[in-house]
Amino acid sequence: MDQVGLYPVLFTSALLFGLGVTGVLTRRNVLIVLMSIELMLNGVNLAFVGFARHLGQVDGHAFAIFVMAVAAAEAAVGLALVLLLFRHKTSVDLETFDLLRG
Amino acid sequence: MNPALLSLVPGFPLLGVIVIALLNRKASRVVAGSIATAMVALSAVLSFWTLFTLVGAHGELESLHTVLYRWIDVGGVDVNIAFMADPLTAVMMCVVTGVGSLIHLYSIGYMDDPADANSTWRFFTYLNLFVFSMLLLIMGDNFLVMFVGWEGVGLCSYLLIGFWYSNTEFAKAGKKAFVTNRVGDFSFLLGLFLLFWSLGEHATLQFSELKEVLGAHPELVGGHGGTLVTAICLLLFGGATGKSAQIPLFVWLPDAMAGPTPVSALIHAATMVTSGIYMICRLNFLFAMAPVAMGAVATIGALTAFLAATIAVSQNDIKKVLAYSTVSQLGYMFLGVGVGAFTAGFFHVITHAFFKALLFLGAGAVIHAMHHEQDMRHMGGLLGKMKITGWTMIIAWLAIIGFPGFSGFFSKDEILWLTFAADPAQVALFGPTVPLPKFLWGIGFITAILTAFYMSRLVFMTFFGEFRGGRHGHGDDHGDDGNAHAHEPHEVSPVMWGPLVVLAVLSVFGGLLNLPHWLHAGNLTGWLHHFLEPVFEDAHMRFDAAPEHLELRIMALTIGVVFFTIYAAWQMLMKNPEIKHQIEHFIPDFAIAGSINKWWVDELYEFAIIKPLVLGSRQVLWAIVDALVIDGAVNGTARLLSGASRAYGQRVQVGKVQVYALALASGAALLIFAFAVGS
Repeated sequence: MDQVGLYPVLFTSALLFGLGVTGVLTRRNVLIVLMSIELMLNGVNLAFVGFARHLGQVDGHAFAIFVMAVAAAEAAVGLALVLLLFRHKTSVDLETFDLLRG
Repeated sequence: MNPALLSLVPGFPLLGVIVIALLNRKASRVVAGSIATAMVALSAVLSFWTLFTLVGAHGELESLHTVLYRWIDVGGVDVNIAFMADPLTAVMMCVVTGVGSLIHLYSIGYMDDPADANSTWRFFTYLNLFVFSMLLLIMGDNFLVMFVGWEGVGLCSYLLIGFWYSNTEFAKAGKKAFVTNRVGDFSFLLGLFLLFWSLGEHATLQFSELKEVLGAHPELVGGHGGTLVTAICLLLFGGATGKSAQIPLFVWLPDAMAGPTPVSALIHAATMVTSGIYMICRLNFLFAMAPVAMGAVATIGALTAFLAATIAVSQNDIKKVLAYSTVSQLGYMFLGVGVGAFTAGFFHVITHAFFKALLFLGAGAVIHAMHHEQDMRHMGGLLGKMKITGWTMIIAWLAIIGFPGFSGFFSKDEILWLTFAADPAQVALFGPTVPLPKFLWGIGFITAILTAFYMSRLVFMTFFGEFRGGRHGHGDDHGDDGNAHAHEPHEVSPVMWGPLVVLAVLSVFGGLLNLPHWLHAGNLTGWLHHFLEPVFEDAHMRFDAAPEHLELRIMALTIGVVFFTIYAAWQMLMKNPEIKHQIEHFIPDFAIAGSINKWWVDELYEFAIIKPLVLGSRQVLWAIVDALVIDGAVNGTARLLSGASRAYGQRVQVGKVQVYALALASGAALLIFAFAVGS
């Protein structure tokens, strides 16, 4: 690991985050969108850990662990919401959820 | 006397207000009245103590001073809630609390109408609040405390005039008093601002400091006779015309009789209306610097005295006559202070407080005995039925017309003589050489005749001749119980005639305070003049040192004319009504109609000020400015926003979570880009 510099880590992190964003913005399936959010979070986690290693500080590691905990909670709530949405509309297609249209 | 005790003088009436207001309906007429009377009486004791402390000091002690609370301390201006008692204040305190406590006592007897049983506590709360405000006005050591009192008496006046507010006319009279006073107060405030502004870095609101500052730097207000000081004094005097009912703001006082009669006695005769004169006396050093303003004060005073007297001669309502006589007498006081005779003007404040309170209370006793009849045409011959009230009223009558030996004689005569003798240069309304004082004396002299006539008319119509009361339907609320005596006027209870007797004694002997020099009365000669000298000496007023015999001749002339007027009034009104009709032929119809209709002043104001104001407010300010401009701006903004949202905003709100997410992501990207470029 020591041989890997900061930049490759950040590049990978940005790539993961970008993939996540793309998934969130383009996919129609709610479950896929949720998974894409996890991807974004893990991309950020990677950046945290990479910086922590690079700067020799423990803060980034702590942040990463917190983000994992929040992500777990978010996934639980998110999946519950998806379940309720599915019962309501019998679909997991985001296009069908537009109750907030002005 | 410990100066800290000064705070208790206004403190007692304030305590009374709080206690009675907290008891409210639980306090009966007697309980509320006793508390109120006791509080004012305690203040009176302290006031007399203050007076005797100052008298006993023989000029060693200039004034008592106490700071109760530090109020405003900002930017070099330091204003405290502080009280001061110099000779002028001490005398005024004694008049306010002394006459005030007598009137409080009298009110206990007067307010016995069962219809008022639930509201007498309100009456006494207001009365005490009034005395408290008045004491703030006179005892404050700076303009701000004075102004709080100044506004306070205006408020209490409104509350008390409109005491029977279920009667729309009475409520309107209260409103009229309040609004008219506010016009004057505004002028007073402007004068105060102008004075404060002109002093610049020496700015102070405290009277004693102001006197020092003006003594050291008279150029700050433009020096003696400067435009700035004239403007300041005229604006302050504008405030005095409101409070003290002078032209052009006197219209509220005659209507103020809508309140219970003790209110007329306390507020509209003895105390509140004198606050304008008190203010000018307090600021004598300032007014002395503005001869033009002094001339305006004297001229307005003389004209008001004359105008009000011409109205009083033809009124039939006993309280109306007294109200206009108050306006007229206040005019005399302004004439006195205007020509620089501050002591004489203030002396008339004191004697007038005695006999005018007595006249109003006596009239109240008559009205009370006549079951709320106020028209003198239905009175007459009451002297036989109401001996004490009648004789005390006769004493007050002799005092107000200036019968030799009575208090009013000394004070009015001094004003008239000093007006005659005043240096024209200090009353320079039309220039320093115009003999304005002589002319004003002429008006004052004619007014003295009119005063003698209308007051004699009041006394003759009320107490002499045949009883003309008992007209049909009168007193029928008592029921036809066959008891004829219940309808007959009867003497009032001791709690009411007691104060009358005390005031009568004061009306007779009040002149002892300031006996004229030609009486050669030793130490008593000019006592008030010497006592007040420290307050007025810096004004440096000059009067002709005319020979004594001229003064005595002028006085003899006045007395002679007054005697003749009384005789003529007796002949005209009581003996031979034919003479009256013949005399009326000589007077132009216009003058008679003018007198009866109060010179159409109310109508003129209605037409020239109120109507345009109401019309302008309704048609322009309301219909155009408010309804179109302001409402238009407010509603237009709302309509614009809702229209724009409906047209464009709706498209943004698509309800698709991914569109929102895209907006979020683009925004974040934009921010990151901006930071990257910026750094």
